[in-house]
Amino acid sequence: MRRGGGSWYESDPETAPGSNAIIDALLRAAGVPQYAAGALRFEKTDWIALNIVVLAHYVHGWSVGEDLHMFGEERDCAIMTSHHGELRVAFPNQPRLERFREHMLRAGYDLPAQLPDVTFKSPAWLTGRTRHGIA
Amino acid sequence: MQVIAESTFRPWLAAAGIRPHSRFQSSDVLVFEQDEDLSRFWFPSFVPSDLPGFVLTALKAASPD
Repeated sequence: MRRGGGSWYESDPETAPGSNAIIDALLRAAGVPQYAAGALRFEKTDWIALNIVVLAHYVHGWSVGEDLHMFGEERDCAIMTSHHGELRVAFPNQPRLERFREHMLRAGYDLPAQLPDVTFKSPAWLTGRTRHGIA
Repeated sequence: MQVIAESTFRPWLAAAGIRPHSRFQSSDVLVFEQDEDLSRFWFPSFVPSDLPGFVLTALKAASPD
C-alpha cells in the first residue's frame, strides 16, 4: 500500500512529474489495474510484478506519496520504502527485531552508521551507535 | 495480484496491532501499538543491481515462509 493509501496511479497524468509518469508506466507493465486503490496482494508466483512495483517506487519515488508499506502474511514486521533511500522497518517487540536484523546481517546488510540526509531526525538507537563507536 | 480495498486492509493491519504512529498520524507512519518507537532502517549498497536483492532480503526477513 502506498503511504497514505489511495490510488496507485496519478490522478492527472498530464501534469504529473516525470518520475511519477515513469512509476505509472511501470505499474502498467506489472499489470496493476488502472483504477487500483488501496493495497496490492502478491502471491509468490507474482514475484516479478512485486519487484517491478516496489522498485518503481523505491527508485523513482521523490516524496512521501511514493513511499510504500509492505507486510508479510505474518504481520509481525512493517516495512516501508522511503524516498530518503532507507528501508524502514517497525517491529512489535525486540526479539522480532533481532531476528530480522540477523537475517539482514547474514545477507551483508548491517544497520547504518549515519543518517541518509540532513532532513532526517536521528533516532536514539543510531545516536547511540555513533556515540559508542559501534559503527 | 489482487487489489484489496483500504477499508479492508487497514482493519487487517489493526488486528495485528499495526496503526499510524500516534505522534505522526497525518504522515501515515505505520508502527506497532505494542511499541510505537521500535523501528530500525537499513540502506542498500551503492551498486544499483543490488537493489532487487536488498528488497527481497527484507521481504524474506519479514515473511520467511
